Amino acid sequence: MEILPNISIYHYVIVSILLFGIGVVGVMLRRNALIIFMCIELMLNAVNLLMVGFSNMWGDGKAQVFVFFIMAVAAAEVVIGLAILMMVYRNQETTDINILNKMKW
Amino acid sequence: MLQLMIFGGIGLLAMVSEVLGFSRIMSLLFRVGTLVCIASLFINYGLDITWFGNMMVEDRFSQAFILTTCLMLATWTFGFGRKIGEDEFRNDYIALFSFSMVGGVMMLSYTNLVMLFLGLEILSIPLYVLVGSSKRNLKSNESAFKYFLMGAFASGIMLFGIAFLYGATGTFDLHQMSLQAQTGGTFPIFFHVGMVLLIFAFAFKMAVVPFHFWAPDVYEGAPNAMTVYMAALVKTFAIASAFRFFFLVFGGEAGIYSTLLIGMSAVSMLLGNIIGAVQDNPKRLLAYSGVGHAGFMLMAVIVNGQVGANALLYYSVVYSLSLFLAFFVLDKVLIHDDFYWSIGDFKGLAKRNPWLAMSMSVALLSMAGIPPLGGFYAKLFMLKAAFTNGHYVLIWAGLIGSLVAMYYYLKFIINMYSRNPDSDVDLNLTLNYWDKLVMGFIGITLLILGLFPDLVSALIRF
Repeated sequence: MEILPNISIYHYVIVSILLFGIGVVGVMLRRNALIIFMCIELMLNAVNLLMVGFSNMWGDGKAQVFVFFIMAVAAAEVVIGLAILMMVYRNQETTDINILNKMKW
Repeated sequence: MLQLMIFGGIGLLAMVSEVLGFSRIMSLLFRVGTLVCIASLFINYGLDITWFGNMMVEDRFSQAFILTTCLMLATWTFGFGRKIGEDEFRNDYIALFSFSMVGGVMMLSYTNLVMLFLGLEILSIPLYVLVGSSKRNLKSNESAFKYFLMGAFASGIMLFGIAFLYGATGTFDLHQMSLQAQTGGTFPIFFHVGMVLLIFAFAFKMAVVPFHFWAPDVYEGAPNAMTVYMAALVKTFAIASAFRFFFLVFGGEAGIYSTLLIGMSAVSMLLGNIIGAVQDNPKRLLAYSGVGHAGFMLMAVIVNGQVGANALLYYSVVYSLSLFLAFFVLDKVLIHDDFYWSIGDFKGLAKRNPWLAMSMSVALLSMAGIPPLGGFYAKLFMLKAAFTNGHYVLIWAGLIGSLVAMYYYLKFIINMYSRNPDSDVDLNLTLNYWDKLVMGFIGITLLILGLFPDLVSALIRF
């Protein structure tokens, strides 16, 4: 905390809750699959920010190592997600998720 | 840990087998590997061994669960393995299943939240692919997409919870966290937020109300072999890992968080079964009944301790076996490539093939909890555990849920035995000896487990 003495942990928490909230709302409301992927990435990045903030607060590096795990896993997840999206696009010719309504109730 | 290496090794071998030219023997290798895993568990059975600098501990709990899930995997391969071995992507399927088992083994033996997260992702990412594995089928596409979105969303929530828990306690290690669990660490508010988020993420993975909505869609669209793997094994992994978390952190009932868990468990036993009762599609019906069963298994997480572990182990084995049998029959009966399946497809199944009707009845009666079969003791152990700890809400919800469930299980049985088949279906469903062997084996195992319930619970006395 020495570099930025006026910023407490609560600032980090509030910013990351805001980012996470934007991500959640985006996943809920947006209809384009690519935008939804971006919102999920935003959620994960909010977690990264929070991890780094807490790591700084406790003064150890465990959470910063965790951040690298999160980045690697997020990359793997996006690869799979885009492959699934390509598969859907080949069959349906759109990325709008409103057409994904073959199954209800 | 040995199991982790074996499954990881098989997965890697399966990926290179096409290039190195031993793709023919790969499915044999997978089966042998599973059996070697089961055998290797007995080398250190009952000892605590730590791995990765105390991030994974192989204790009696994880050994018992790895043993039963490996046995379930062997049974699954026995019943459905031929089904996935038909096309040119056989080795890719084997690699994906092996990798998801690696994730499952990690989820069963973690003592550090990093390992929980990695295990969950290693388990889930292959499953997203497997669910969408019939690429031309629009339903399969849709369910893969929904499963991916919900899974990624749930892991985001879990990570947010883990970050808050770290902020409150300053550690990812569950043993160190348990020292601060009663007070909530340095920042109790962060601890509360983290716990609630983590419980929600677990609920997503177990498909418990109110986070169950993805389950019916995903179960319906996925190919049958994948659906049953997901419904039986993955649900066991998720609930056992939740159990392990609460066991290591709280060492028993989870204090104020118990209330939240009790609410989710009771509501999912009631709502899952009531919505299930109005379903007409058999796969969706089994998915909703799975929500009810997840509520039942959540009881073990609430009660926790030795009693809970016993009940959970037995319940997961019996539920997995019943699901295998039910889906094996479903796979033979719902062969028409229609967009819509219904219970009506089961009309007069006893006249078309008595073996199938008999097996389906055994599976459904076991799920409903009729005495000579395993399901009865599974439910009894759960209710007894809840009774000892005085959770009467759970007992009432469980009993009412089971009664409602009985209604739709009997609906199947009435359709199979006392209706005549439709005129346009094939009157003679033929089965080969292999199919009869599989069905007989699973059915008799269910009966034996019902007669000698101590067979399973002897594995886990710690």
